[in-house]
Amino acid sequence: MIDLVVMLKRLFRISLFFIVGLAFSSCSSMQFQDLFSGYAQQMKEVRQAQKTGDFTKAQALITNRQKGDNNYALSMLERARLQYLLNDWQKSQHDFSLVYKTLEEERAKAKIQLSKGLKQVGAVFSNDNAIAYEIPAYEQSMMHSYQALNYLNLGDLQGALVEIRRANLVQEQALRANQNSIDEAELDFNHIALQNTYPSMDLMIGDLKNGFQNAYTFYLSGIMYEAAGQANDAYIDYKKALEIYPNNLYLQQDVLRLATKLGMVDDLEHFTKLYGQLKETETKDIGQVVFLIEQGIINAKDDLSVHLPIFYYYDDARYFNFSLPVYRDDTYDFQQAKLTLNHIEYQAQEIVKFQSLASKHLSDMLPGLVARQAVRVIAKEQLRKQISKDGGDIANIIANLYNIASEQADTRSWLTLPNNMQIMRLTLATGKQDLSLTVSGQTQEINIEVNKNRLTLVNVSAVGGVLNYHINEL
Amino acid sequence: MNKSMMYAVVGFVAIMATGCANKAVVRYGDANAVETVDTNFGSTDLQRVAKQMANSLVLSPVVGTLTANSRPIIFVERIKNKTSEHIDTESITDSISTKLLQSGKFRFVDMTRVEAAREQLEFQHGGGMVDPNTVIKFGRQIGAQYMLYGNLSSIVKSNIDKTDVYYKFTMRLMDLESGLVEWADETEIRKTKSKENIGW
Repeated sequence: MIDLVVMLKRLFRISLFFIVGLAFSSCSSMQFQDLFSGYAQQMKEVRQAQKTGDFTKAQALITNRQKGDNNYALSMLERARLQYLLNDWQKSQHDFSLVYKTLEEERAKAKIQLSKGLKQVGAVFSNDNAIAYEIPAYEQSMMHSYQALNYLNLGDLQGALVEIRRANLVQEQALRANQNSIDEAELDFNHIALQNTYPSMDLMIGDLKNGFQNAYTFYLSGIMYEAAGQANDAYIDYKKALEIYPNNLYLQQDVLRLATKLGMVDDLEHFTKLYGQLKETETKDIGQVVFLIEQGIINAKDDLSVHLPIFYYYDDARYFNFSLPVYRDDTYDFQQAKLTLNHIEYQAQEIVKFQSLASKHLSDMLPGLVARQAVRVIAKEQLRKQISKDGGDIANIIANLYNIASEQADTRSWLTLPNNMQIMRLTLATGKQDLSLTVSGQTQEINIEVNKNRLTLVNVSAVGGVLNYHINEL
Repeated sequence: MNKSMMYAVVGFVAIMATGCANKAVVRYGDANAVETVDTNFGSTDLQRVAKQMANSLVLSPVVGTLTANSRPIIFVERIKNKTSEHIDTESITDSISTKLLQSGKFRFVDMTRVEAAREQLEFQHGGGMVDPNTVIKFGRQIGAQYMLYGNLSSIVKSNIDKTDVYYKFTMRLMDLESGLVEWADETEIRKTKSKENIGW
């Protein structure tokens, strides 16, 4: 009888630890499922629905999260993206604007936030999902790009340009922050031990210089500036895009064309040396048609269990198991989109591969992730020891189970984004044109109206066996 | 774990729980009060810009000679928004044109309501419901002599410590017949926000 009372008391004490742990992630900013299952796992059904082209179902399957939830902004991004795929510009615009609002609120907050500190402590006893999701720069720039297209589709070019400027601001700030972080000393952690167990993502990253500069956003920006009659602004953004994707033939031609038009003599000489003469011959009744083609779905992060030595007591290095997020090699090779017009075939060219951006971003984050994970493993081990001392064998088992179950890698990322984006720019004779476009094995007949000296923008998305397109005459 | 520790924990959890509940309060405020919620374009900026531009235009010596014997007719083109915020620029032009109208020196034609006016005239002519003697005739409206237009641009810089926003508002008045710009002025606004060091 007395034993039972003692045991109950002990159990009560143990449960207190967990209550405190949960309270640290205050204001119910974390849903119970986030504690024991990763984000990628939770999004599996949504992605399955998206892959089959059932965007309505995918949207309905997204977990509803309240403001203040760690994943609120992320779930809004997913929803807005699916609404965009459903051609529901208004709703998509509304949800993206909510994400922007939370970002703005976050930016206005104090430099040191007590609530953030508490969440970090909470994360020490659970996992990284207890920390609010920070939207990386490449996702932010894509958010503004989609938002710009939403405005454009609703007939508001000026609003679209505002979003474009916001996207450029994000990229500028990311560049500046990156320069600062390079100056800082690198975190001290065991690189070699990690390299032995952590798979290389180099193949996916390719020759990407950083994980935030997105040539597609610059290109979209260029198109919109051109449509608004600001050729000089367009020229600057085309040049930025070309810097990231120097082998894109369409980009080369755009830069040469605008350098000629704007009389940039030195630039023109430089680019002509690199890329040859401007191909276009100016005739009278022509218009421009630009295709922006998004293809596939970006991969989700995987949960990888690694075995790493951590210096536990002074010089005593012990091996611990812990989870890290990783992108598995993306072996699926996407075919480039093709277009046939009057028996001539044109090929699209890649302008961004989100898989590369995401992989690069993750590999940049890795040192910090490992350091945090090491602290967590030790803290949990200490907690287990303390609990087993207080609560005996049963408590030890419970604590062990909790430690194993709560060891979840942070697999959060914007999962409804496409895998890559391609562009195609054609100069065509004015009037009606019938062309056939083939993306990912799907062929679609498209009729477009080419206006004299104007730009026709065709947004194509080939996701999950569905080929959607939308035409804007700018 | 001793008792005092447990009380501390319970107390802490209670504070966290109450920290989430905020009461909403509704109040009336002064519409002309200075607003400094954030660095975005706000009501104070709008009022300041509109007031300065309207005063500058009314008091300008060139415009003084234009308005000496007649009340020139102006149409407002638009203010081009070149900032990184979604700003209702029509609201700015509304304020400016209202102030100019109230000065009694100008008259305006409103291009934003042309469609509505046309619909009304078409109704009067085609509906059969309006007395033909009172129907307003087509083609009797008066053409504008001047065009008022402008730009609103901004430069935003921010780092971990502060945010700096600079707005420049430019307005011009063009003589539609000669194409000459008769008047121009600009206003600048600078707003900075330093972040607090520690907060919740």
